[in-house]
Amino acid sequence: MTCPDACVCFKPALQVTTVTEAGQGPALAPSSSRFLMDAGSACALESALTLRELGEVHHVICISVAPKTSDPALAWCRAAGADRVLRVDVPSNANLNTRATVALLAECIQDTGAGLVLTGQRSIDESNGLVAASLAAILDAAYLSNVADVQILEGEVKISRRIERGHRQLWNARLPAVVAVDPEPKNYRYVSVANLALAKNESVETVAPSTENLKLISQHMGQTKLTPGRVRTRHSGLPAKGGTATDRMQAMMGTTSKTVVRPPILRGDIDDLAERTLAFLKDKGLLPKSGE
Amino acid sequence: MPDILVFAEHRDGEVEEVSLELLSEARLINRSNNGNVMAVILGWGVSSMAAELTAHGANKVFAADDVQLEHYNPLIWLETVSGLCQRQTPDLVLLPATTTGEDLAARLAVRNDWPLYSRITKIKFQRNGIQVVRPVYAGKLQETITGITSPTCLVTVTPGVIGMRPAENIVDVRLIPLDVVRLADSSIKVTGFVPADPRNLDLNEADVIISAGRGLGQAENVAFVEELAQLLGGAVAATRVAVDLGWLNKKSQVGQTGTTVKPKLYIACGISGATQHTIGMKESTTIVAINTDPTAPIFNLADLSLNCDVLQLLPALINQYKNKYKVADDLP
Amino acid sequence: MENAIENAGREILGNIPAIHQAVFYTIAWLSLAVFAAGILIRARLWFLGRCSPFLPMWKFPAGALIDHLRGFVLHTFIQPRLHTSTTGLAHVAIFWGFFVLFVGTNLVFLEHSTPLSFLHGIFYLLFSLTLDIFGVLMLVGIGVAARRRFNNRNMPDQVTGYGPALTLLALIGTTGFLLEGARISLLGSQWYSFSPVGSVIAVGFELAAADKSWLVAWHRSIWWLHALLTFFFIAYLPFGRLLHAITAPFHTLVADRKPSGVLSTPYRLEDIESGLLTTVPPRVTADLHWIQLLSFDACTLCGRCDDACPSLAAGRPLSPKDTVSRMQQLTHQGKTAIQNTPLEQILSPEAAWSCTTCGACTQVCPVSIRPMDLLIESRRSQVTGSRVNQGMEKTLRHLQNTGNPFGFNPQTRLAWAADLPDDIQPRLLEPGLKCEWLFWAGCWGSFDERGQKVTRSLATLLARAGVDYAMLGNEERCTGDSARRLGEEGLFQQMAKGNIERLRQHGIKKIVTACPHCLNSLGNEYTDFGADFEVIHHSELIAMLIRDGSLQVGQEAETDHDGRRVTYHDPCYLGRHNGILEAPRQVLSALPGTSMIEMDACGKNSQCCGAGGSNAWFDLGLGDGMNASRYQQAETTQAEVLATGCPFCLSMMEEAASATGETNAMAIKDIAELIEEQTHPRVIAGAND
Repeated sequence: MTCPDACVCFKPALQVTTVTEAGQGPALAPSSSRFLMDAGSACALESALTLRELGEVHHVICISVAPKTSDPALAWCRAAGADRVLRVDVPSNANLNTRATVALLAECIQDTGAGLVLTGQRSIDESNGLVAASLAAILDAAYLSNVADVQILEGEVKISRRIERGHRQLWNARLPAVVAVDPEPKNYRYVSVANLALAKNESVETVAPSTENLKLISQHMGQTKLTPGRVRTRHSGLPAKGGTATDRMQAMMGTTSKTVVRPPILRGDIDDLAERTLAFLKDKGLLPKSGE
Repeated sequence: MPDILVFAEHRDGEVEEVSLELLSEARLINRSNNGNVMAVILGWGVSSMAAELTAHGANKVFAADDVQLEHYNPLIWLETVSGLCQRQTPDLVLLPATTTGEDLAARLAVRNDWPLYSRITKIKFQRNGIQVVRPVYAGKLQETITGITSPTCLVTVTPGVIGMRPAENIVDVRLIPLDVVRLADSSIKVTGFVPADPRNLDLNEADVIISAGRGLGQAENVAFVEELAQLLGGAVAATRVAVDLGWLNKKSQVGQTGTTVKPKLYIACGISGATQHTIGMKESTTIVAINTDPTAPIFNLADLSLNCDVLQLLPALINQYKNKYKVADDLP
Repeated sequence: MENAIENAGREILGNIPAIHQAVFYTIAWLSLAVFAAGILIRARLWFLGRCSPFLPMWKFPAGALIDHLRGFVLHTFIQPRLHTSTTGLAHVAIFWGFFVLFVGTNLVFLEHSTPLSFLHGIFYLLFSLTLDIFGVLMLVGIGVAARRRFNNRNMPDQVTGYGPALTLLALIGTTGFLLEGARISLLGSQWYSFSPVGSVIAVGFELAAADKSWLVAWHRSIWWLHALLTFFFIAYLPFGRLLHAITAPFHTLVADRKPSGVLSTPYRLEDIESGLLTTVPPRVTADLHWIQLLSFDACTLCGRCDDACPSLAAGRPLSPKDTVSRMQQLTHQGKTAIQNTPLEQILSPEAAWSCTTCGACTQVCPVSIRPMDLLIESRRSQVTGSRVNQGMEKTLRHLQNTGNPFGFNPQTRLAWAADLPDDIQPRLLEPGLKCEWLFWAGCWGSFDERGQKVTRSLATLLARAGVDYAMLGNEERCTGDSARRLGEEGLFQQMAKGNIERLRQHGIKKIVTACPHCLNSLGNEYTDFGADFEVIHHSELIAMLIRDGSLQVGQEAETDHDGRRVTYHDPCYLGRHNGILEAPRQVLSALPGTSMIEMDACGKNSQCCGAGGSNAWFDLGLGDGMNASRYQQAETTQAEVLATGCPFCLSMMEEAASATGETNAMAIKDIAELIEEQTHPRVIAGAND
């Protein structure tokens, strides 16, 4: 049985660096429009490359739906070892929704004839986690999520998926399959600066999407508005966590507007301290449920 | 009057807290709207959980209780829940943003062509449709989507975001059994389940980590750390010094030259908090530090700082936990 | 006397009939041809390396030429690195013996074959005496070497090939003396005291010979024996262990004399970015410089590098000798192997990553080979192939994303200064601000808690001494030393260029730093990218300040340290790589009530702490304890304080001290901290809260 080709799909992540307040509310600053490879996609590519090294997959093709400004991010894929890097060309101001992304990707994947599609678990869309499942439906493929390990044997893909508390589930599926790779832990190969520079010199293959699929872009359900993010508070009444060490340092230096609560250092009777500790943990829901 | 369906998850015979959070939220939404709050739960031995689900807000509990359903099977779950949705036509389906919940949510959305919004922090029913708020770009921005008008809308919520409201007095448990759907084709076969080995827990996957540092004094005292870890269901980690002294092996090392971990709880026992170590754990959600030195740098990071002798505190913690919190499991 | 001194001389080839001479010369030319062919065959393989060997000499700056010549004269003729052992001295004797005899033989040849005539009179007498003395010297040297060989004959690391070579040399030397004796017995000489050995042997011949015809026969036979042995020696030389007689001197002439801490620049990142280069060197042996390929053939497998390597001593799978030896064997496999075998196949990854780049191997090599550089080349090849482990990948990723190997937010680089009183707060560089010194804190000094204490101490000293300095603050980025040592040359060049640009914009000329790794990068390695900074170590600045009175040491000492003993650990990047040995000692000796004790392995012979070569950032788990071993050496001095001038060494020694679990372990202090204690009572509030 011949090995399938593997397609790694991703949308290069737009890196938000600053959020400025414009006249009618916050917007993304122009300096934010820098595309980067994100960890999930890198993990997916790493899975594909490992499969190729084991001889279970024939070619590794990277496909992205993105404007031209994302080419440097795509160069990373080539530098990491992808056989082909394709970019479905869309205008730079395109606001890609799930339906459009899926249609454009599916079109391209079908052209390559690949049997295995890999993505980062939440890497393609605005992290709704929908694209991989939709892709599977259009390609008439099995959808496998949160995958830790992939193996291909005689037209079947065997996966182990990582679920809560360190347990693993083992699933099998016939090819074709869409595998969404768990982005944690971030295990992907290092791509050196020089290799990346070399890869940037080669041009990315561009694919023009069909007009009907292009029309799907900007068809949104409802209206979307972006505002600056907030530090979450827990409804259980405890204050927000006092930030990371970095936050504390910045607070010390007055370079952050986050208010940082540094808890007091507790001393005293050992049994009292133990009691307070356990109460603290229980409040936060960190103690195991009784009966375990 | 929106009808809301909550997908409930369970573990080891108990309903997962996140499901109760979702029910609280559903109840809140419906308090003023007179709609129906339904819960659906699949598994083996889940019928007994109907009471708790009802106490937290479910008017009806649909339970599929069968030995075949002991482990999550994506296609069976999809057919069962999708069929239920087709019959009950909820306006909103709430699922937890867990590996099962998100997997099922995506399949439901695709099968029925319903919109799905993941990891929302707020949801509101408005006149022109549903409004959801969710963090994007790693939390740097918030996205507010208004005017969602699909007949059914799917939404997943991260555990811990909403918060659970207390149970109410149970009026009347309405448990409706569901049939397990027989699948004609199973393009996905569930072939196995590998439980995590508590003694060998991968540090990257542990929710709770108890870490041993030089303050423990000698190798024998690591036993306290191990016992506490076992009680709290966590993994044992170590600083570089502890590994170099031979108390634990390299796999347990957390720090610059070891693993970087992000557990929900990190208890640092007798660890000073030198940079080389804190680099590996400073992203933990909650940090508890125990050290005799009040100037130890670890206290700059900790959410709970205990300036005492770790060799006294650990036994006290273990004893108190066994007496007050843990139900004895070795009764005949 | 009938024969006056002016008539002293020798008849050359006197007893040899013409036909014999013809054969002799034929064999001579044949053997020379074989010799030349042998050398050329090897040379063709060296020149498969990059760069042309035929560089126009006039393009070299005079200073570089002088460096090369000095290196050549020093290491070929004086061989100072061999003076430390008896066997080494034996080699010097063998070399000088052979060299003088070689020159002498050629003089005889010139005398005989050219119109030149100088082998007569006093010159000839001295000539004859000199040859005898050096001939004996050579045989004595061989004797010492042979005895050592015999004593160690069961040791596993004995190199075969030297046995036959030494035997051949001994035979040539001995037959040479026999020949001299035979000639003297045949021709007679009244100047026998100027050929002492020959004369004694001549007596023996005369006694043993029944009549003159025996002497004639013996002389001719010995003459032929000696000639054949010599010509065999010459022809055989390129093919055996004695090749080093050619390659070693040649290598000491052409070897790069840059400081040991400076690594080569294998390519320019701009060339890759512009498309000029389409691969990333080095991947194979042919990507190395031809001088490096030559250096493999210069190696005699003497093993001094192995004796000096602290990684090997700690049990890591690294042997510098084995490294060079493998490269030597690879080049012997020919052109295809040199051009195709990946470096990491020849030099194992475990070996390559075990190196701490301390430079001890480079320092002790008698023929100027740099085994350390080869290991870095292997690392470079691995990085290009994405073969780095998680710890290395994490560090490189942090360097790229945050500009420091820890991964800390770059906006927190000044956290160490947060609680300093106003009069000690550092000035930050801004456009238009002029200052004499730039105080480069370095990543360790900025982010690590222990390192931050040192930075605070130094800032305090600079403030007290009224030094005109400023700091980059949050603009500072890692020098890239860790990236380069990890083999990520591209990242290093990126960071270097960024730093050079920033420093140039601020008009920086003089930099002071407490980190020898930063010093090495900023001051030495950056010059390859157009930088020209004067970089000094903080101990040098402190020494200057003490000398000119800006810093008063011991006036307001808070604690009485009478009789306190301090020992000093020379960091590799400070002492061995950059020769800064005196300034720290001057500073320490200025401490009142304190006496300095030197460790056995001190100065340039200091033993590495184990954190160099980016080993601080990843852990191979292969044999550790380099820091424990060094700490034990410090403990034997029974000093109370172990002082050092490098944040890595400081960290390593502290770890070793705390690992002993002793309550009265040595206090590990940086030089700045020790001086600061003695210049002013500690007033930094909140530093330890």
